[in-house]
Amino acid sequence: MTYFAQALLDGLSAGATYALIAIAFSLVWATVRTVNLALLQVLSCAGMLAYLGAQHGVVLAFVYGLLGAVVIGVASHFVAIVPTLSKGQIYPIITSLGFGLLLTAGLVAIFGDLLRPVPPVLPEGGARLGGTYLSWGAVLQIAVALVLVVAAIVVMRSSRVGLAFRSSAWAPDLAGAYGVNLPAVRLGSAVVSSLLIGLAGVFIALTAGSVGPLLGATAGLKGMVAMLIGGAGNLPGAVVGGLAVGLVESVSLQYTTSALSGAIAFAVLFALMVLKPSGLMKEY
Amino acid sequence: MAQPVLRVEGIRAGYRGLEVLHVVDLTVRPGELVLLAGPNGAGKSTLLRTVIGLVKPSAGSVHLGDDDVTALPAHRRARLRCAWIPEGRGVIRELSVEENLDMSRFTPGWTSARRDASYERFPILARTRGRAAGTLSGGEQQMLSLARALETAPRLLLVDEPSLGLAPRIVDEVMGVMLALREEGHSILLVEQRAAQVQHVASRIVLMREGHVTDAPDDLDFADLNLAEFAVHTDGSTP
Repeated sequence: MTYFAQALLDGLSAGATYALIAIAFSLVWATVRTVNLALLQVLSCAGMLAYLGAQHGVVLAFVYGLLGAVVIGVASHFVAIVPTLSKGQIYPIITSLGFGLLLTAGLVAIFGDLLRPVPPVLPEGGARLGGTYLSWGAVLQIAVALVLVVAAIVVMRSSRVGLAFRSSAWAPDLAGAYGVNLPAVRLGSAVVSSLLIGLAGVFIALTAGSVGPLLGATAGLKGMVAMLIGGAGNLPGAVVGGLAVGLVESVSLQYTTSALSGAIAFAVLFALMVLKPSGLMKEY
Repeated sequence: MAQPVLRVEGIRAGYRGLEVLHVVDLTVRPGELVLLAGPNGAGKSTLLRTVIGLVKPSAGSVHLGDDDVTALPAHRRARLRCAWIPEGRGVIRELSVEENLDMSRFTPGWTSARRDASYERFPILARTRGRAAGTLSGGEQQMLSLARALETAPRLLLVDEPSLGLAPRIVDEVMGVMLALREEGHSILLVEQRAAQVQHVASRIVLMREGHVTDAPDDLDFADLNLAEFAVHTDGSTP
């Protein structure tokens, strides 16, 4: 039972990160109606930059990671999304995939493709409850993710900015004709989604203890699946999806090997996608 | 004569290299309801999209009042209080009635008092404010779209085929609102294919065919006029 409770807690902290990644993708979908696949590599870049920053302490780990994520994420927006968006939603997906491959190649050229050990810069120790244990790093991760996710949902649901974001997704021409500055809204969503996914990258680097340039292909991909589970464009759905992925992964890890747990997680996700292709929740 | 609210001069425009508007001139003066009539494919909607800034003309100019807006993107023209009601109502079905109305918040000078005024004018919208706009009937959606445009306190209203897909009784209702707006002094450019049923609301009628416009003769009666046939000879001579 304690094992199971511990698995749930581990799943919760991993799920918090997946939720951040899922929300980043979902936010792009909810405003621009496409998928910026280069965000996967923005996650990798943020992780590697956090590794560099962590050599000089925890603050620089966050500063490097977040600044890098915004710069690279916004670059991917202008290079891979804006020029092809008017041709249809499939084109930015392909150009951003290409831009992401370029980023991966760059990271591997600089760092090699092996995992790098990240110095332990987060406060040591953790919270104990019953037989379970949660490191302070994981507590921080869950708390920050929770605050940001709730903030994102509230802003999107019930603010002027949120209405500008959502209306430009559903009807860009109409939104423009009613005074919404479309290029600004799209840039705004690129900045926020880059920040969220950058934060996920920093957290993964600092809590996992090691990080490599292929982070986007592992954790990033799971976050993207989490978005699809929740329903593209639905931010609360992205949270549910993120937690689902984290929990399935961590519970199956309790009972199987690490290689199998990844496979089981994806099998469960696959089954969910077959049963409910549009995701668990509708876009609002 | 008063300064026109809208002045379109020598506009050429189209999509992907295909020219739809061939040198179009048109003015709307304050308080006028100009009915732009013509067959399907004549370029009526394209002209409205050019005025609102969604289609870039290859030649000519668009003035809103004194302002040359030819080079301005749509969201900048919206700030000059030019409101567009697109064909098919332009209601976002997934958003609530109130969220649809509130899209007018992005134009200058909006206050929630304008929303209250919308609810007073169209009580059905007050009753359905929390519902998804897609659950409204076609006529109600048209009222929603009109209310949203009015909330921008427009100097010029561009209305594209409001009768599309509506029962004749509802069309009469919508035209009643149009007439009321005209009497309130609004300046309106109304595009309609079913001109016979709506011509009574117009203060002036302009005919459009294959990317050209001509002023309609004063005694024109659309009831006697087959628009498709009219399309064959609008070289200035009365059909």
